[in-house]
Amino acid sequence: MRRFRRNRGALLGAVLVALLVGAAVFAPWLADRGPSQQDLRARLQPPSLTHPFGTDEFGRSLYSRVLHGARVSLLTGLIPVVAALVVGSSLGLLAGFFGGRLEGAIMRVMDVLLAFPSLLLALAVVGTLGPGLVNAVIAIAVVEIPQYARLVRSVVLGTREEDYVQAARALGAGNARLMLRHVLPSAIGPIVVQATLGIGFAILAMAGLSFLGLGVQPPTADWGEMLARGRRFLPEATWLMVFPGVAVSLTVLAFNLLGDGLRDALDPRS
Amino acid sequence: MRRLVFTIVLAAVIGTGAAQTLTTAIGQNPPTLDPQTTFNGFSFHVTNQIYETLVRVTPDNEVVPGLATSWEFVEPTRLRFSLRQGVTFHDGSTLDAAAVAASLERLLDPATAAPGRFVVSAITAVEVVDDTTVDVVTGQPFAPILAHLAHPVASVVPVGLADALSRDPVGTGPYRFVSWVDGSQVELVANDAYWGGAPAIERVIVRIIPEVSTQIVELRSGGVDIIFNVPPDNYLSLQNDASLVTEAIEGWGSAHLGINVAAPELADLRVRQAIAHAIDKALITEEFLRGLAAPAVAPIPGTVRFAAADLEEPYPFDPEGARALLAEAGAEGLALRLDVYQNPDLEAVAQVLQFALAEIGVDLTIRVQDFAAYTQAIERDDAQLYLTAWGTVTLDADYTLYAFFHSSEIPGNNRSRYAVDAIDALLERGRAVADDAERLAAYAEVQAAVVRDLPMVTLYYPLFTYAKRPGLEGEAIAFSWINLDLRNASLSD
Amino acid sequence: MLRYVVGRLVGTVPVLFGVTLLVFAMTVLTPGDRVVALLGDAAQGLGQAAREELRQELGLDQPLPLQYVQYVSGLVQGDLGRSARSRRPVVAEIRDRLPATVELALAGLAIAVALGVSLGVLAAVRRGSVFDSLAVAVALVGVSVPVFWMGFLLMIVFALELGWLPASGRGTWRHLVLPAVTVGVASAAFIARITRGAVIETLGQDYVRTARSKGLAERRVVLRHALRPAMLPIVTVVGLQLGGLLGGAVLTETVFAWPGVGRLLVDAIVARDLPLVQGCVLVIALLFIGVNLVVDLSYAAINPKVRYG
Repeated sequence: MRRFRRNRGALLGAVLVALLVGAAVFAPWLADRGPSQQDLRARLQPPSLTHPFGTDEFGRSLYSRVLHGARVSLLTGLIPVVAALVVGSSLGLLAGFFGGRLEGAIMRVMDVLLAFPSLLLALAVVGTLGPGLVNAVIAIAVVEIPQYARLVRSVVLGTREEDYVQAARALGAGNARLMLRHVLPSAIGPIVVQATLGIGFAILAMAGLSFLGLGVQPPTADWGEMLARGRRFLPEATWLMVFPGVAVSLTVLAFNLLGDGLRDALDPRS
Repeated sequence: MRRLVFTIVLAAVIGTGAAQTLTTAIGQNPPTLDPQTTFNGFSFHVTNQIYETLVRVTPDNEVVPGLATSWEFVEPTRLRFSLRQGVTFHDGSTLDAAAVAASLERLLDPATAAPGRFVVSAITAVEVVDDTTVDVVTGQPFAPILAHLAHPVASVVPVGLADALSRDPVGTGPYRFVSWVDGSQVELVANDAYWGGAPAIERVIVRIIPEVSTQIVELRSGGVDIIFNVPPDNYLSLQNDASLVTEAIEGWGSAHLGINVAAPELADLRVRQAIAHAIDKALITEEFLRGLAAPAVAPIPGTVRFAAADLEEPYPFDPEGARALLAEAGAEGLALRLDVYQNPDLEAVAQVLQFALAEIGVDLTIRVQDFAAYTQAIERDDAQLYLTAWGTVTLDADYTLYAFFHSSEIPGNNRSRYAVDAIDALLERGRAVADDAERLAAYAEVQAAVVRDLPMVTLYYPLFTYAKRPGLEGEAIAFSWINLDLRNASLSD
Repeated sequence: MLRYVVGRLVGTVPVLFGVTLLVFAMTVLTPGDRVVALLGDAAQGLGQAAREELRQELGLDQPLPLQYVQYVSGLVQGDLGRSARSRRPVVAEIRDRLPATVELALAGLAIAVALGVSLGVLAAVRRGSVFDSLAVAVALVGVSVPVFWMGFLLMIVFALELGWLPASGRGTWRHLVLPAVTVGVASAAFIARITRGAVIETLGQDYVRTARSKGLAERRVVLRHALRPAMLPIVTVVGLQLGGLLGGAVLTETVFAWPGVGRLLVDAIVARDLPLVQGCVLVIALLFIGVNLVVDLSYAAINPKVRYG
């Protein structure tokens, strides 16, 4: 913990993430008006005192949309990561703990998934299931599963023969109990680091899918969708690209800083 | 690889050296350059430079000679064409009646699986009379046949080359095909043997640039000479650029909010009226589309023959009235789904409608899908509202009205499931009689009825826009970018 | 060494099997009628009987394992089916586009390596200086900015405002600069971080200190003694980065109208042209597997320890 606090980057990351969560939670109170509130008579206004971030093509407040976008982006960043974490960790646990054919099968499947460049795999999933928010989230989750499976398996392999695990086994602890109580906890540190970095990837990938028109449905305020639509008004209405773009970049940066900091803090070597 | 790069560099150097090279930009790689095996605008934009039809339509919606010099109905179901003499395909072979018949037969042949076959499906036979005369026979009298034969799918292709045409097109048109670098550009060169005289612009390069903003940067920085379908906001900023010329002309398009009248939520006319009253068409056209569209009443724009251009709006913008109608119909708290396909402009209109309907208490969910999934979805019985951008490409009322409102088009083009016997009879009469006045009367009645019954709300007629460098002059564009006609165009610096 | 190479090659076989199985499974998993999915518009207007006929013709009435075998045997003969939209062989579609993507990825990689390694080494050598902090910050921002966002930014500045480079398209080397930089920036940032870490570690090693104490020039110490051993982790990262590069290429090709496989894939997805989607996914995956194989083998060549690992 002390080591983490001494890392200025990690601290900055933590502060940024806290601000982001704050913005997401309190968006309705912080916003000047609803994110879907249109005013076609005040379209594409540059930033001003009345419209801090300007307005978009529907005359909606970009400030409000960027604030509310924090909710969507955090969710579309978190959900695939959590899903991948749960599925991947379970697979890794099973593989590491039982070994043998099961392990071989699971790890070969993971190898196959890793044989695709990540965004390509996401595109393949969307290309199969069709575009849309849910399918995009599934796509990004699928991409991230192998990382957790590999990570957890290697931790399990490392701890399986440890004394305290053997002791628990001798005392008659069942497999499920062994996995959950004795083996899994040692994997939590690396998982958290991986997940933190994964959120950054998920948000960027989501923005990429939205950019290609394969992401969220309107009128959801999503940064990727804002960028995707805003690009049509370049080079005039630069604010449509600047504010959501900075929001995405800062968020990804925050999670990367946090992840790096956690890794340094949890790494026993340094 | 090095040789490839060298060739490209060399081509670029030579390309810039030659005078009179026009560079245009389109948004997608054409799937094919065989006009008969596609129904894709990006294909037609290119094939219209290479191939020709028997007759063509001018920017004033007049049918004028193309490969045919004259025509007459020798019987109500038999249209006789005299062909232009001395016309050759780019490969040197002669265009004669047999070639024309073979081409149309290929289009009609189910084995060709032409997606645009429906355009000519009224034709039952094509008969060669002599070398320069050919008869087109329909099963029933079909008044709009000429307009249909002007459609790009009816282009005359050298059938002997058949499958090779998709990558190596050969036509009779003003430009010959040179090369096609997939996803990058198609290059064409003036046809010196063109029957109407070689065009002044020697070389045309059609570049494929997916992003509108990239197209605009290219136009401004001199990389391309002309871009089409400029979105309204971009159009206005290009209009202010003194180094460019912008044009906005009436097109053949219309945008519709389709309503499935068979859906239980929408079967009550009052609910449909409420939806119509909720939409401020003038606000959409003036503010959202920046005046680059006209508010609509009839389902087809005034450019189309037999359009009811002066119909009065029976359901003007009136949110109070809309709420009252919903209350009367017992439909407060109504939740509806709007289907739309992936298209940035339509998706935006969908959001405008969503907000407008929210103001009268209707909760609209927008479902955006790819075009194929969208088409399947709105042909299902549980479809509710759908948004569509439509083009009356034959510029004859029959094309749109019959497809949208005849009961035989359910399931299919009649997504509103509008089935009224009297309307069916009028639509059949409209295509069977040859007299224009009688056709006008039939179509006027149909349009008045559908505007009242609301199987759809026609939102607006978009203007067709393009922006070019001022050196380009003399281009003629009939209603749509796919009809770019460069035969009398010239280019100066 | 030979045993390692053979082992590594054999290890690729199950992955190849899995990849083809997954790509084949795309047609099974896609919602809706498979005939429509495979033939697109051409099957849209057909009646039930005609669809049934096509189903038999395409072999879709056969048991799935048999269909897979047929798919793979077609694959081995270079037959990936026909694009539903253009009706051309998928192989021909991809062959036309592949050189552009390879060119972009290689140029992007070159920029990433050149930029990343030099930035990383300089930052490591001046560890703790303002330059170091700046380099670290730039590297962090570089991986956090959306690729397409960077692309538009570069285009507006260098093509529209300054007019130095063409805005889009493929042709001369000048056309390549902006897309390659766009696609390479994120990888450059990543490589810079790894390089910095690796070089800092080797700079602290005894033999480097010895070399220094012998009075060798600093430049020589860094290049000969510190950078060389640090190349191992860098090479690994470069191989992995190619995956990110190929992904970024999809977005970059769209922004810069670059006629590559990435753009082809996106168009195919939007048009629901399943055979073409399958083909693009398969080819990019095979490319990626091949590159990683080469990286692994060259890694083994540099580092003898790997062979026994």
